Amino acid sequence: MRMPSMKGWLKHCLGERNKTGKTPMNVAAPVVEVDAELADLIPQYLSNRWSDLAFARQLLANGDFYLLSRMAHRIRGSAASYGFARLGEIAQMLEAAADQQNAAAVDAELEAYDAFLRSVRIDYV
Amino acid sequence: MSSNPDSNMQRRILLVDDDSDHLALCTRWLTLSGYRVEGVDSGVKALACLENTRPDLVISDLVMDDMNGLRLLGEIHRQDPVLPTMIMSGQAGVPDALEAAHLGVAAFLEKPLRKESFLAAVAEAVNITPPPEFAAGDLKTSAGQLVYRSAVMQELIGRVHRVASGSSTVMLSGETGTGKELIARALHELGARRDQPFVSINCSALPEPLLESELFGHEKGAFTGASSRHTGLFQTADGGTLFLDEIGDMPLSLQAKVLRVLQDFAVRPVGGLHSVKIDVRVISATHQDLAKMVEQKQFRDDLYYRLNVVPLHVPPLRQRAEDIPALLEFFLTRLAERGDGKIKAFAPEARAALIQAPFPGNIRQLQNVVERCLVLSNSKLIPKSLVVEALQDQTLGMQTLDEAKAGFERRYIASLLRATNGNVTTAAKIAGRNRTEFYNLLSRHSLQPEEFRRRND
Repeated sequence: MRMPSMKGWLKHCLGERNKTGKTPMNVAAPVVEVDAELADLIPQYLSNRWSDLAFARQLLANGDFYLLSRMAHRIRGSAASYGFARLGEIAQMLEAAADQQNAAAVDAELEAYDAFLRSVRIDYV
Repeated sequence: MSSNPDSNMQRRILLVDDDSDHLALCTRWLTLSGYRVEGVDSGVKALACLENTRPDLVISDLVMDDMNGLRLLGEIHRQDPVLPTMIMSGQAGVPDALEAAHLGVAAFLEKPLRKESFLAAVAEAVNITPPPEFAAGDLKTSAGQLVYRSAVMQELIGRVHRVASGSSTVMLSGETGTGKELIARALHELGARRDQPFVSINCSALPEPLLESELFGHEKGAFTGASSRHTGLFQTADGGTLFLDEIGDMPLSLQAKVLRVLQDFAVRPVGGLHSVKIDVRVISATHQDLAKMVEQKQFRDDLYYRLNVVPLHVPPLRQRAEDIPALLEFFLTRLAERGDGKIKAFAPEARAALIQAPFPGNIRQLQNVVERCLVLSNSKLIPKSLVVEALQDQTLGMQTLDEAKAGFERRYIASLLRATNGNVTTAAKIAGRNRTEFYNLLSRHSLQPEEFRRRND
């Protein structure tokens, strides 16, 4: 079930940023600082994100924006907590694009997501 | 403190989240802080888990596929109203927050969580729960002392400690004389509102118009005899606790008004044009079966629902007979301190008779029996015969009709003086007595009108 307050909540989260729904593509190879006490959780976490990406592409092909939005929302809920703040931002854009049923914007966000996963370097601190 | 991993080792947390990554993350944070964590990925599994163990805290995600977090916490609340709970959500709206508040949810955490604030909120929530080693003892309040050794009272006092820290509305049930007001005092004095007023009113003691004026206050000229403005008890208790004793005796028309105050957190004095915002924790008590009264339409179901957020039952003395020896020692010592200082004791067979007695009047009756035995006993050792005699005299009537009438008269006159701001002429007029007769009544009950003039300065 989607919450009745979802739109208002998204507005609150998104503010006035990114009205086009596009994420800038000139993202430098990100270095993420992750708490060393989470080190053994990270391989599984990143593996799950790759699985999500594959599934998200299937969902986009099927036009299932509802499940896309749910998936993006779930990623947004934990990415920053693990230390992947940028991934959380991409997930937020993806969720907004899926809510607007904007296939092009969803595709762009999935590309950004893909680029992030390919290039991310982790420093355990 | 719970920030110290060593002191958290006995604390158990049930964590519910259908996002496996988030569940793993929170479990890691909590485990490293010393908590024992049971992590499950659905509300159904959480309820199954609660069948076998009682955690110190339940933390649940809000949106889950099989069972919404609020539905889960609602179910948990029905089973154990004082078990602390927390909600995590990335998309909560105001209705969710309101429902969560009604369920007494200790914290509503927004995702993505930050480790420090998450652990701080958890530490605060588990501190609501007394440590597992919490055991029998005496709980002192400004109005008296709760003396107990029994498991049933330990359980109740444990719940009092857990509930006291929050602001949930509490309903105390139990027979007359079981100590409901002391429990209400304890709830107030153990909580964050302890430095604010604790205001108590017996809803059965006053006729409806006076009770209304007492609770809500009135403006000058609001009705005949309202010669000055009077601040109601809801406002007097602002920031603190209002104890509504014998709530079952509140007239239906006033129940609607109390319900409105609890919904709006605002009160409008009788004859007033504007509502005043208030922040009051309401504790109510009754010896009646309110659920039955609701069925019989004698009590409003919506008010019952509002008041009964955390129900606490105070057991009768016959269900905690093992507390009687400790209570006897307590009363003997206290009464000796007030009297000649000579401590007396009950003969063994006298003690046995007291422990086996039914005490329909509960602690209050036990206290009366002890007091009477002390006064009448000539020796240091109180004999069984004296106990039997005191018990027989006490069994039927805790109060004579004259005593009951005098009690009502005193409360009635005091309420008149409060309502009239200590104005004797007006109070006498309302009571239908001339000034001389009214002064005689004041003298009989040792009531000083000037003491009632200070309240609204």
